[in-house]
Amino acid sequence: MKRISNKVNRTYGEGPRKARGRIVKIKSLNITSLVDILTILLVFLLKNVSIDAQRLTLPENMTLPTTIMTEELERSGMSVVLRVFPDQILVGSDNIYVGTPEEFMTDQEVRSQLLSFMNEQSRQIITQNPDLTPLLLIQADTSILCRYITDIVALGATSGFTSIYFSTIKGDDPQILYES
Amino acid sequence: MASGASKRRIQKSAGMQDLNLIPMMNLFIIIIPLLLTITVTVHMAFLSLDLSASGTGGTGEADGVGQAETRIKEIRLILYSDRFEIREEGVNDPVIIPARSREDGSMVYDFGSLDNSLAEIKTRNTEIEEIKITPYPDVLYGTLIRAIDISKIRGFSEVKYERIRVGEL
Repeated sequence: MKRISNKVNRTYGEGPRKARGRIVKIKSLNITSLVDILTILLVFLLKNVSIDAQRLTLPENMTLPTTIMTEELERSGMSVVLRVFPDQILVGSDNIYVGTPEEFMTDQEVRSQLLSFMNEQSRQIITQNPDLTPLLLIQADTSILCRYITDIVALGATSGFTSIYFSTIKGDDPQILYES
Repeated sequence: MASGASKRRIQKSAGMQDLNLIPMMNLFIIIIPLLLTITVTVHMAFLSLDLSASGTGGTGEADGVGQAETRIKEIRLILYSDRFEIREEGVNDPVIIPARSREDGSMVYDFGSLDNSLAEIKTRNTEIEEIKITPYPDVLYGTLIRAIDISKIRGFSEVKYERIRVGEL
């Protein structure tokens, strides 16, 4: 029974030759063009990804304010990021937990720890390269009260940071400035 | 037999031409999704604060006749919880821009009027680049940033952040 069916299959429509031809075609599939596209895509993505990913990353669970104006960060600067959430303050590239904004205002220990950390950071930047200037980059939620921001700015200015920047989202429509 | 050998040679040379792209493809398959996930689609902006000491704006020479120290006029924008106030040195009455109250009781700042007032002040004082912004402790960070943004758009490129002065609270 088997032999008969095999024979039928082979003879029907000249099966074996066609099948072999197909296999050869699949084997020599040309993926060069695909590699070309992927190379271009890779170069494009590498160009757009900043090395200093920390400063450009949009923090999760934070609504940054939108602005029309934007300024360049100092080229000779090295930034330390300070993130102010409604329920916590994180500092540095490792997102070190400082405390809540309220603790920062009321607890002297929290404040002195943050001050010594920021002093250390600014000192490290200068030690690493005297030509570098330490920058403080503040990322804060829109709902944060200015009393916290005022104290953070004061702390940054006293801990050796020569420039302080507020990080926002770039908007294109000037109308957003006047919206309520 | 001879034809078999030449065939093999031809196959070999053909094999040399066909580079094995599979490892490269594997690399791409890993790198591209990784880059796509870490690429930020929003465009971040930065607003700088001027930390330099304010006061005299250096010396200026008037038509070559001696040297006279010119003091930069102080312009302050105070953000209260219910209004904006612009105080210009030498001008007695500050510009007060009250916030409008909504039906639900919340306050809405009038950023349009702030923009117009700052533009008007700038046209009168084209040489002034500095503005001091003082936010009231209860003002939201979003409001502060908008005020800084409008100030910078209107030509006050040096924004100084100031605490509420004694007697202003």
